[in-house]
Amino acid sequence: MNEPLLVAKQLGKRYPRSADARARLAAFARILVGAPYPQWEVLKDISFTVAPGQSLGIIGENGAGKSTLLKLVCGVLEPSSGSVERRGRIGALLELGAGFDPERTGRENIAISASLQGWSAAQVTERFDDIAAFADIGRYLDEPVKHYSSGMVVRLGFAIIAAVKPDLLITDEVLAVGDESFQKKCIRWIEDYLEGGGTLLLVSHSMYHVQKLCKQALWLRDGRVQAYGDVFDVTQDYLNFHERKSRSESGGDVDPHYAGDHYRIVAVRLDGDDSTVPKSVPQGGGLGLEVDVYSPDGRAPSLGLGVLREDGAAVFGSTSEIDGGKPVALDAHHFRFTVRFDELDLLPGGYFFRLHALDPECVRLFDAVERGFTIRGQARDWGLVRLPHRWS
Amino acid sequence: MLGFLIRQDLRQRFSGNVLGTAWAVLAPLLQLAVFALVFAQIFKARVPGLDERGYVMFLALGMWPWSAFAEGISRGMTALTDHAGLLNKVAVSAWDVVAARVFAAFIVQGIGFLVVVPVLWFWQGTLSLAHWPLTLLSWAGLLALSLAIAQIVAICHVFARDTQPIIAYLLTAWMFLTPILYDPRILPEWLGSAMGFNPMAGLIAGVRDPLLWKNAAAALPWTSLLVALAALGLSAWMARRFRGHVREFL
Repeated sequence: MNEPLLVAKQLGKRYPRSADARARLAAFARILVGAPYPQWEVLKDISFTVAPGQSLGIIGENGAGKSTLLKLVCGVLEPSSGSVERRGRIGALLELGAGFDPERTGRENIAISASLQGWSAAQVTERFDDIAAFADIGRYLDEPVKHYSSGMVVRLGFAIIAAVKPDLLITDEVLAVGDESFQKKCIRWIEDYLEGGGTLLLVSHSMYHVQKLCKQALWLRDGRVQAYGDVFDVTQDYLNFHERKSRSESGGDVDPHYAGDHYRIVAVRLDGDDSTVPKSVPQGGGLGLEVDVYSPDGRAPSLGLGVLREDGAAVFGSTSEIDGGKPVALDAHHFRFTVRFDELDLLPGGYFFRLHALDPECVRLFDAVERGFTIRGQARDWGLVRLPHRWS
Repeated sequence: MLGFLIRQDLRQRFSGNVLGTAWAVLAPLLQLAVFALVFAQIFKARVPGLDERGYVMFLALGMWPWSAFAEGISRGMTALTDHAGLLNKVAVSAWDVVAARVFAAFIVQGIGFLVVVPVLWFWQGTLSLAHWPLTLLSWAGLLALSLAIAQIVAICHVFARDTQPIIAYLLTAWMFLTPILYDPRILPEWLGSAMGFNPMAGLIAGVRDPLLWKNAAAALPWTSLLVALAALGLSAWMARRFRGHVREFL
């Protein structure tokens, strides 16, 4: 019973290196006689197992080999080396509209996809209403799929998979396409499915989805396993890697060792964390901010502080001078400002702090450092903030 | 899965037509009318021992099996490239995708054959049904050979798109080199014996002759059947060799 549904052993995949007409012909001849031809390695030595009830997230940068890995797992592609063992019914949602015929209506495509999953005509009829209800695309059901938006294609695809209830569900970045409400619906469905003992293999760029749905994660980097284990460990490593990468690319937005002629921010911590990964804060939750500023002449500097929404809309701004906030001297040249927002009653979405080091007179502005944070919540009202109000 | 793919292909061929599946019956009748007019009336083509109507019968009994064979190859050839999207997203076997096209061609042309033969029988009345089961074996041989060649050229077509015009040319040449429009007995000696190397000559005759000649020698085209079987083996070997290399080039 507890035999794994999926065992990948030292899986490797190579793709043809170049594809102009001559190279293709040469490759054809070489394959025919069993000789090697120019290939590049997309995946190498990938081993993992997925036991029933397990949920594994596969993460990695674009081109790391995630989609290729899923295709090997589903049996769409043959591995160049190693092996995949599969047990049970696998439901795969690879890319947009896999297996859909764009010329046919959604209704017809439901029947086609269901047949591809091995259903009989009677089974299709029986579950048709469930599928249509889940997809919830109204009159488009009788339109050719080529008229669908990408979101509608995903809706239909997911609705079919949801009706199939496979032993192992494999999805590739499809949650990113549907609209907010459909994403939530899918996530709720996957959560129920996992609670009911379902098994999941999810590829996503959204660490939020991976952490929410998966217990384990596998980080693919340049076609190899960079990390494999508990979802929080692996995703944290992954995010840290990206942070280091973006820091090294931008030369680092704050230089902790700065010792020049200007006032300058040298460290920013949100709730004690100096990473640049946006912090997640529940709606109405609190957030503490610590900013270390370098002062070239040893006088206590000022700090400018703004809160903006992701799109740049200003929410709030102030300075330490206006508020009467005083920094603590850390040493002769370093001062620390500590600000705490006890109740961030911003509406859910992405925001960021914009911080400026100012001279003690609060006249000259020297730099700008930004740190993002995300407000999580289920609010249905809209705008930037929830203004206190009463209905009568 | 194969059955599903065949149904898909058939549906795809007939959907979008106003007359739909009626074409499966109508098209062969129209084609038969053209054959009768062009070959029997205009060219005044004849076969020794048969009159004008007999020639139309001769032609039809050879033309439909040939069409099934040729259409199986020409549509099977592009099956992999046409279904690149499906093959890259769904775990269907490449063999089945090609085979579905070939089977669908045989179903469509087979229906044409079954429509045309009774019509000819009413019209001319000299159809010989005594040995009809013998034709089945030759039909099977045609299917096997068409399937085998389709599988091979479908793989070639993935690697070199030049395959399509080359095969289209070869199929036309092959048709004229096969006794479909003419009786093999009218051929000069050297060409007649060269027909021994054309498996299609045997297979077409294997379908046509038992239905056409009352005293048709019940000899089966064994050599052609063996060639078809060997070709099938070769195509299976080739499909295995190219497994894991075809989708990667699509």
